[in-house]
Amino acid sequence: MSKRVLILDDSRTIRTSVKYTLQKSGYEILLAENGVEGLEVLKENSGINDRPQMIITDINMPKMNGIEFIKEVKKDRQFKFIPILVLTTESQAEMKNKGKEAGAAGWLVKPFSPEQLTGVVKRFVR
Amino acid sequence: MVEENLQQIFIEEATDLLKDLENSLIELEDRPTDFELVNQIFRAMHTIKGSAALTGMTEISDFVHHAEDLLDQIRHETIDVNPDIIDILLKSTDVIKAMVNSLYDSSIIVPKRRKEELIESINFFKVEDNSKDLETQKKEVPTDEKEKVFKVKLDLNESFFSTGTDPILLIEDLAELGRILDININLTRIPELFELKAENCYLKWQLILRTKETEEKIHEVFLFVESDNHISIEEVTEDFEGDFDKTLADKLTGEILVERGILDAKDIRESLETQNKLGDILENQGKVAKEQIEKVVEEQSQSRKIQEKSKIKVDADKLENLINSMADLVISQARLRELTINTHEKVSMELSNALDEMDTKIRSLQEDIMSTRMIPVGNTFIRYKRLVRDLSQEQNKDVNFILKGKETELDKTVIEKIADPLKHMIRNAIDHGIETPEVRVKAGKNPEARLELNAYHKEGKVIIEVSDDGSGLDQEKILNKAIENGIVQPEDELSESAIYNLIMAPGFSTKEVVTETSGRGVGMDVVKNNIENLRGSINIMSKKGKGTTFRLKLPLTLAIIDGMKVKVGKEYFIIPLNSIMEFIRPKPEDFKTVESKGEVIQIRENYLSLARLYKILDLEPNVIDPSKGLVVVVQEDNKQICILVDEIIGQQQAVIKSLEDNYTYVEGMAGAAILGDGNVAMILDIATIIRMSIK
Repeated sequence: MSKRVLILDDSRTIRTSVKYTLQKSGYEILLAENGVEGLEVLKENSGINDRPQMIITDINMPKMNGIEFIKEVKKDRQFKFIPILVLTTESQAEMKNKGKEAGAAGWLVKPFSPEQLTGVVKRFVR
Repeated sequence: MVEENLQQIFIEEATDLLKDLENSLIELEDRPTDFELVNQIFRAMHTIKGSAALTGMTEISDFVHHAEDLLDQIRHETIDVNPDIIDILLKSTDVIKAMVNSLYDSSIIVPKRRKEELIESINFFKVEDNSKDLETQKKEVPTDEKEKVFKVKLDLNESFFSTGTDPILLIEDLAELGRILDININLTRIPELFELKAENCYLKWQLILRTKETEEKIHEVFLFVESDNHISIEEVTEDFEGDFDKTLADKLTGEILVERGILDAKDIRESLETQNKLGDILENQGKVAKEQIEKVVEEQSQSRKIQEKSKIKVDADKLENLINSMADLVISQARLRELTINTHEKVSMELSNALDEMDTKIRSLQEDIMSTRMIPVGNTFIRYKRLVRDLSQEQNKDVNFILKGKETELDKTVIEKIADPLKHMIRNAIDHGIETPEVRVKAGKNPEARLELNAYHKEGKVIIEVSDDGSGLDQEKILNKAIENGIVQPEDELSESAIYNLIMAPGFSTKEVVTETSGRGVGMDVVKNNIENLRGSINIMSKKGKGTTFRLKLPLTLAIIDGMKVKVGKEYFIIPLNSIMEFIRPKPEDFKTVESKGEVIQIRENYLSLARLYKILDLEPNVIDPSKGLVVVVQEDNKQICILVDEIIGQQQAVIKSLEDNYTYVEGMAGAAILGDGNVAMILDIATIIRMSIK
């Protein structure tokens, strides 16, 4: 059974490129444009076999940003143990810490290469 | 007198060492950078040199000294291992062997010319004259310079799991950087069950990693967890010799436990205060698992002995005596049991309870004794590496020789008796099966051929397979040859496997060209006989152009089998228990005669051939009608038949006595067994009986 990864980003380019890279490595991808949508996707896929094994989220997103999203996920008994990776940029280094405080498992600095992405992802789901 | 003895000991020791040496050298060709192996080879040469000098065999010690010099250079990395060097060392081993053997067998001539040539070749490789005494050299073995050894400690926070990170994946990530030599887990923080929080992480790990990567690369694995957890990475390359921590020898068990991260220093202090044997205390307190302590103690003693295994050499005759006494004991036990049947009921109950108890004990004693004779097939298998190497070089064939199941254990006698048959089959495979690289490429195959020797257990037997991906057997050629030699008639209709079996028929040989190694008159018929004498069987599977597999099926042990005692007429027979599927008393309507198959018995949906033992063995039976007697359904090689017997007496262990010494071979009999009442019963060879009755 292939592993599912949920990707949250408001940029279509990032969503598509992350999706494409991970699909090539055999992951199944769920997509959301912001935190609110992300939570909805999680609820729709809450079955033990449906839920994603990992979440990758951007920080700056409309409606609900990445940090708030992480906090919401960590409150939910069903989803709190899903590792979350935050996507940050060089200019917002402090976001790494904010993400970690909220409960993220790791981070990836944009721009990143496909190899960097898969290298980090496989540290959380195999 | 004393000298003679000393020489005898030297010969025995040198012979053993030379055998190991040859195998290690072949191994070295595959793993040229294995330092432990180089050291092992060097030690063996060194020992031979020392013992030879001690016993006054200066000619031997002088020559060994040259070979030892060469090895020393390899050890100090002044020269690299290459096939030429292996070749020189192997040839040197042969010369040493000849020199040693000539000590007691005057017919063996030491090849002087070759000896001189070898010394010359060795000198060619010498970078500088290394005449200093090797004894005084401190053994300074650098590990592979490019690789380093790191000790990685993961002291994880209780909240570690909350991020969803899985420590196992981190460790797997780490393992991808190199090779994990050792991994230990510290369990001391795990609380009592009622205090345990399932979401918390209570574990600490310590790993020893051998890698070519840098320390930064290791840190990168822990990038996301390093800030909240204690991760320490320390280079410890210096402490390691090969994959072994040489500092262990001088340490206390407690120190090692702490160092390995299995325990914290405070746990040791607390435990020491109660003054008891440390390992017991720690274990009782649940701080470590028994296995963890045992493991470090074991490793420590290994480190002390530098991997030298302690073994006692026992005279094979003594073991043989032990087994014979064991066999007698089994017979006496069976006798006792038969006697109880006739005694008073109450006495008989108690007696039979006591006998049952004795039964289990004898059985475990028996297993222990038999296990002393069980040795892994690996040692025998490895011997063939040289054969394969020499043959393929000689015939310009490229062969990848794969050994599998080296650890599979088999009775020593069985191993000894299959050594030559296996050799013959391997020769056959290279001589006749495997093609030259050019031919293989033309056939669209990998130029390198695969020859596999595999051993494994199945259904209480040991299976040994010799398989190659060569040209396979040519049915037509075999059939023509067999007709030519009068083994079969042209009008005979034979199945595929029957045709393959023809190559094992006496007087058969398809060899068109007799090569140097095979085709010396010993044919597959001898192989087949040897295997069948061991109560084993041999099977051939082949596909033209794809390859051939020879499958040997051998009994685990030769001495004792579990069997079912049955009676036909006045005679008793033993049917090996692992061939028996079930017992049935057929109804009259289940018994039929089918035109092509002869007599059959319907068992559920299947019709099975009926074998009348009294017909096969020419006896006077009590029962002729199957519905009045009993049939035993037996299976071998996925073929089932029914055997008609008068009655079933009961299960019994049978001590096998070889028939060969006193009788000629009887088809269908695997041997004779002595029964509890002192009578003799024949053991049925089910595979042969099935073959006879299906034919």
